[in-house]
Amino acid sequence: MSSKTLIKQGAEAKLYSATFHGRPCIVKERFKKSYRHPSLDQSLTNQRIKSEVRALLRSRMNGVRTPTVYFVDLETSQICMEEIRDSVTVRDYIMSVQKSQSLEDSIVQLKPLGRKIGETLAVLHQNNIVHGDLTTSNMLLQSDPMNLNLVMIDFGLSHFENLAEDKGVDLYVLERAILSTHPNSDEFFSEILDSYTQSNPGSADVIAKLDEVRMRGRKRTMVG
Amino acid sequence: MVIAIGFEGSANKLGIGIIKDGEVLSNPRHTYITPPGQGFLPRDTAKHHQKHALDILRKALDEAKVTPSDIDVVCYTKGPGMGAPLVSTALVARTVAQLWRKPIIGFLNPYQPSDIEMGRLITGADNPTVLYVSGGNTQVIAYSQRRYRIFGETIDIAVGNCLDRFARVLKLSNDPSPGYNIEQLAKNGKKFLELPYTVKGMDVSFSGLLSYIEEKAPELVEKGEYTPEDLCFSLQETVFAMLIEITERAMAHCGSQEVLIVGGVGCNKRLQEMMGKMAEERGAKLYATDERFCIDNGAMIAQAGWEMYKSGQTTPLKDTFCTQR
Amino acid sequence: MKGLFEATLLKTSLILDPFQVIVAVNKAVHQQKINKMMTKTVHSEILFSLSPRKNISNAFKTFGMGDKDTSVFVAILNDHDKSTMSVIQNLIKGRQVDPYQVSELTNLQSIKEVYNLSETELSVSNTLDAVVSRIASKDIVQV
Repeated sequence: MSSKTLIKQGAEAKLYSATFHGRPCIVKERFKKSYRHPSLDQSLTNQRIKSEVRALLRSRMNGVRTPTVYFVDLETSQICMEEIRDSVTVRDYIMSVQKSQSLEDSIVQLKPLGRKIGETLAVLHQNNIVHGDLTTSNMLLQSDPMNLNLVMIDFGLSHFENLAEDKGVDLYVLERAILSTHPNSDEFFSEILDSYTQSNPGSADVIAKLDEVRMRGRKRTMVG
Repeated sequence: MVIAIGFEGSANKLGIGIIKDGEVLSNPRHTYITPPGQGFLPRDTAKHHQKHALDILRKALDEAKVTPSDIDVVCYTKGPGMGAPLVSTALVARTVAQLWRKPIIGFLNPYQPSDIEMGRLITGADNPTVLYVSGGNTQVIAYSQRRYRIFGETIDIAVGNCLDRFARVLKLSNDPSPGYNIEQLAKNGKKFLELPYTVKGMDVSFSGLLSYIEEKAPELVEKGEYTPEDLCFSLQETVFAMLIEITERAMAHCGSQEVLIVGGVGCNKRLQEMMGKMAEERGAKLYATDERFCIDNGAMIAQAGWEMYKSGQTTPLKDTFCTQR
Repeated sequence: MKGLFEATLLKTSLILDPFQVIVAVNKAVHQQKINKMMTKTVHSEILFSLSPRKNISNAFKTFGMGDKDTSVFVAILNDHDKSTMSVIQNLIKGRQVDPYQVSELTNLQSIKEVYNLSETELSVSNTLDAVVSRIASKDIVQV
């Protein structure tokens, strides 16, 4: 691997840009969290690297585009993977669309993207891949965003689970992330749910759980 | 110069605090203690508050060295909380306000998002990410798109509730509070037991962890594999790590460089220490958490009321009701 | 041939691109560095690394050059003075070609079978990426 340049410091990992034997790559390095008990820290870090690698491969095997993994080093907690070149995050794309046109027009323009995201999540969930941290920053659009080449990233909190509850929470996490990041995004999220439901025949249970989790936030005991 | 007196009794603690221009003059409390292993019921809690209200009021005035005539405004919690204790406390506040002929301010728990602006005023923090942790709440609140929003929260039980329920399993005393006793025991814990750790996006879940440790604890202690101290230690390390993690995620998401812990669980020193380390690593600032920022006390309420009074707001007597939600 | 030279002789029909070998070599060398090799030498570890599964003898049989093969992909490590290379050039009677020409000898069907590649996957990924993902992830997930 060539020398690496820090491009982003997230909450639990540093992202570097480098090349892996001639190919542009991203090195994702999870760092120690000194606030955590050392054995908890070690076990979480290991668990998350493994979850990430597993989900990156399984998603791709089921037809969801993810970065190609080149090298995994559990000793230094690094994953070296393909750099998705010429891409924007869905977050930035939505913001630029909303900025450049009227609310009505942007809703219309974002519709196909919402459908694509819904279909993609349906595929993941049908294969029991629960992402665990769905946000618009964890989705990339490669080359022309209009082509909807959606690439899913950041699977560190993912797990494999057939429970409707976990899938419902996955959607809930996305809903909260979208509504808190993007103003006037209710219709965009509805579009996602709509296409999720249409492309996932077994989604009724998941949607029921989503509704249940939404309610839970609102009536919790105050006693304690 | 404004002197405010605050009454807080939304849960099992009755607290009356007096504040003079941001300085805590007095803040006595009395906690309704139930036998080990038991929670508290609204009716009995209300009786407790009724019984101790006058003693504590006397104590608050004496410690602050003020007389009723020095006081400018009377403040109390409208809610949320348990109905009967809230009403009992509000009754005392309304009575003294009329007796002393002072304006009254009633408001919802100041760290509910709609009122969180107050937290900013109090601390002087500019754009803080707030971890609000108590018996009934577990939320990460931050400023985005020009208003405060809940970024993360528990999807099942609150962290304080989780700690209290585990204290019941170990039959820890409720004096002064189960959480406090867990904190003391945890200081002597050494052996770490790995527990289910559940973070989903910026949300956390404690119910799986709680049922796991509830089920395992008696056996682990009996066999001598782990001491109650070890289990309290492991529980705190795990649940607090989850809380710090979602707080950090929210900070990273919003680009916030300030963090503040509020709520009863916020008084836990280990939680503060962990938050401090996280903040330091991010080059962010942790705002000092003192008793004024723990919800269940009178000084907090007086402080919040003081801010409102200064901005010219008071509550007409007809609106001095309570609400459980 | 033992002792004469150290190199890995690979079955060309299962090599799609030199990059596939690079990913396997990278992994083998890393395992050697951290003393966690599953096989005896780094050269055999390369063979093992190429396989998407954990069965060692199967990996050797599948990815090693066979008796009837008429071509071979040779992987040599640390041959700065080209000494190993010259020994091999003398031993092998044949024409040396650019490693990238291996694609002309690839049996795509065998690759798909050995690496368990589906059309679903290949609709979003090129074959090489699908293959190297498996090599890099094998310790954590097998297909």
